Amino acid sequence: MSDLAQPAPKPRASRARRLALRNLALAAPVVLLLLPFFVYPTVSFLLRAFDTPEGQPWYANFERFFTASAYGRVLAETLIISAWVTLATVLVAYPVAYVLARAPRRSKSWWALFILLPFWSSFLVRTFALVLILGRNGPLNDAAMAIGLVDSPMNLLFSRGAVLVGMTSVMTPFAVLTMIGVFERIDRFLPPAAETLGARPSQAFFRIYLPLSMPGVTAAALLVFVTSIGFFITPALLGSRYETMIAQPIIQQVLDLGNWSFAASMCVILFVITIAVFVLYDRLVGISSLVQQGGGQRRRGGFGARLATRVFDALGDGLAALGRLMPFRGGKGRAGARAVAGFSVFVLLVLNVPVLFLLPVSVTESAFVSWPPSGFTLQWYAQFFDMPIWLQGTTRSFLVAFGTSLLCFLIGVPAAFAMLRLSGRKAAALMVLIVSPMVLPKIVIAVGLFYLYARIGLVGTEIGLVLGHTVVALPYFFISLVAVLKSYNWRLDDAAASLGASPWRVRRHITLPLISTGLISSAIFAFVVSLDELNIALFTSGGLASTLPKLMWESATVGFTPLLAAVSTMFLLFLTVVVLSGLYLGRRR
Amino acid sequence: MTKEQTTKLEIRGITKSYGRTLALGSTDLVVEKGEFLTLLGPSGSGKTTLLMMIAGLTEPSGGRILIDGVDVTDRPSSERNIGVVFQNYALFPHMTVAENVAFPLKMRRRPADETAAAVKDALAIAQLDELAGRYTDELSGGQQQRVALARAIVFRPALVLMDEPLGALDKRLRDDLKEEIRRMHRQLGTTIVYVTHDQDEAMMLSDRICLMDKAQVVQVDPPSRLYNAPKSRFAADFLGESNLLPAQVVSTSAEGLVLRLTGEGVAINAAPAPGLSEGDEVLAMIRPERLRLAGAGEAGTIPAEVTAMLDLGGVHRLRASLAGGTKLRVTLLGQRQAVAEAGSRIALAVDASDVVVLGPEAVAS
Repeated sequence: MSDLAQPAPKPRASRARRLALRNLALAAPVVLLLLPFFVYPTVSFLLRAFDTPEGQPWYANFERFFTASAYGRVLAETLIISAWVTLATVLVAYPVAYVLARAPRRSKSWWALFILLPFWSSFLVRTFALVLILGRNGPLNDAAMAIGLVDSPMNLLFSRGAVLVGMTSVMTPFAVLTMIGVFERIDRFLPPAAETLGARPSQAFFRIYLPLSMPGVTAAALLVFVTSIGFFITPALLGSRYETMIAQPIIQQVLDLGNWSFAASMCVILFVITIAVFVLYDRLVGISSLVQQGGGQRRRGGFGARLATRVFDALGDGLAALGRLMPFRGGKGRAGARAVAGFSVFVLLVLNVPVLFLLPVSVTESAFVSWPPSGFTLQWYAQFFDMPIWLQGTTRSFLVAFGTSLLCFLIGVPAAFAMLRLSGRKAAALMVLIVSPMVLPKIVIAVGLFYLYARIGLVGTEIGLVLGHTVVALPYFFISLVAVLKSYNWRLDDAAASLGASPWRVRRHITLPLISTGLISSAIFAFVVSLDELNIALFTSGGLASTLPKLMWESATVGFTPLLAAVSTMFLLFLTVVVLSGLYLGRRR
Repeated sequence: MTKEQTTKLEIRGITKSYGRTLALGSTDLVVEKGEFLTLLGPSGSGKTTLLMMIAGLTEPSGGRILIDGVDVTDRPSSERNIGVVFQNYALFPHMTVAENVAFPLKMRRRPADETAAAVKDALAIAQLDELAGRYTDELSGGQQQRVALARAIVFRPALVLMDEPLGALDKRLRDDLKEEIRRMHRQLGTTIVYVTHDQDEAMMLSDRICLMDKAQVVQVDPPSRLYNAPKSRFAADFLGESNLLPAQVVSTSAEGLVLRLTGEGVAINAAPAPGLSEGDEVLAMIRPERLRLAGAGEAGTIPAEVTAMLDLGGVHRLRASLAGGTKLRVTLLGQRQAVAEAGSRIALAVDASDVVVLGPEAVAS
């Protein structure tokens, strides 16, 4: 790296020590933030689960949880919903990732855009849109009755189906983005090569492409499941009381009942499930394939892998045999490919279109949401600007988001540089520390922070929000930035140093200008994550320092109104502009 | 499997265009049984497009492809019985070497014992016996190349196609594998269509070379003929070094032509060329090694001044300039010592049969 070209060779030992110290110094800010505001609060809060009243055993809270049948049902429902969501998401995301990975360059950027937009746009707003669409007098029922499919409106909302649809649509972009990295690394000549060797298209897919894409599939499944079990927005808004998921009683215990210990015991259960899933994944697939995608899977010929291979081979051969029975189609019958592309387009539509329905509702004259909307008025927008509580929340959200991306920038950039220079194990440890807030249930982090803030007086402060949002947004910032730095040609730094630039001037004149767009786009994504973050504010804002998502959430739990549609529309519009500029900058390097 | 294994390929008016871009203009080509035919040309000349259409991986915009006299244009790749060696080998990374080689036989539902025997044979031919159980990403580039070859021949395909198979290897390995491919071709007698942009590879391996440029076939001939009698400026330029000298036909007769080099007071003799008449503007193509130092008293010599001289030991490369400014490259073989210093004057000579005359259409291009 750049240090090699520095003049005046110094004694080896001291130089090595100096470099190690520098890497340590670069990584220090991140560690110093995450230890007190992520690791410590999470651990100390989880330990509260074992903090039982005098005379009761250490497991009293767990005993209570598992003996009350209500909680057992909640846990079972959480696992069942998460499992179904995982299955559905993988099945829906796979064809999209497949098409995206193989699309020619020009159409690829369009496919990517319509995956990235829903990925970055607000979870909350997208769930609102589904509430509207699936409602008794929503557009779906309206259309079904108009064409005479049904006589009276169907009850689509407040059911397990609605929850599954809602969670799957929220998780699909996430799953596609997880899969795409692996899919793009599969040599695109492998399936054609198999075909020249006598494989039918279906055999080429099931015997070659599918096994090679499995690391992406399992990684996506893992992350979707782990994220799903901590969900509460979707089940609360789209489900009935039978679809209560475990995050909901946690919120209730903390906010309404103030029962820290019992909430902690539920968080421990959530935490243990998460860890168990990771361990199971490691046994079956190998955790290393999460980090170094592609290639991890093959030498581990475990029982699962062998069984999967058998099943895939049989599926491919079966379909090929069916194909031979079909009347002979001229040329290369690409009906299958067309069906996959068509399905993918449908998925993208389902992911992107629902939010558009919020706009007409936001200008309706009626005081409640109905379809089709009647008349035209901007009164709901006016109302928003007349209500100090909304304006204050919005201002606070922007300030916090700005502070979050600034803090991410200040501690994340040096950490990313350190990460690239550190040796394997230290780099991995740093990566795990920074990224784990992304894969652990956010609600656990948020409650832990509340527990800490309550003792040190940070509840209801903007500083507290910024610190919490930074813990949550840093993984996104960091991953995006490391990707930028990995594609950076470090030889340029060497060249500049050999031409006489001091290390500082190399950074100033060469490195920073070249990575600046990637840096800004990473900061924009941190900004977006913070702007949309609900968990942290839900607990730590103490009702005094509400953020926009928290106000939207509270308003939605009371009922979905045209005012909320107006707020959502503005919020989404703003997010879209920010995300588009982030994507534009990110691509320009 | 007693019948003759090698097959003839016939291409009738095949074309391919993507929207308005023409990837391959209408092309006719016949490949004989057991022949080694190379598609040679710069990138973008359409050679890989043609190969992919023969393989059934690209759908032609028009024309037919016949193998063994049977029209296979509408057959999917999996039913053409063609072995393809891809540019980056396209080995299946989740299978061992032996599994890769067994794949085509498995797809053909051959009995297990037959498959095992055929795989063993193919691995032996490719000298891979000891690597059978390895995964392909543990192999060196040369070894991967051998696996790709073994996989493409193990099922005794009617035709083997190779798309720049040596492109990713270093020169030393390339030379070894060239020998290997030649040996395999002779041993198995397979018909091979081979794509490359490397003229040495093409010269060494091919029975015939199909030279391509700008989505068209330029010339199809055996290597020596293509070198000694190029029919166009492109062919003369692409294959080896050449002097392309603008000239005018002074006279024609049964013995040959007399040309005057444009801008020079020099006339040279050339072999007879039909269709040319006095006054035609032509290009005289002379290979550098066909020019020699004129003997004492020889008639019709070309006086020149040496501008630069490189002694490569056994080979001397000269740059020479004629009175009117025409530049010549001269390669002299087998001279003991430096024959001419830069700045000295020499007289060059060339046999009439070594002067290839390219007609007016070559001048225009």
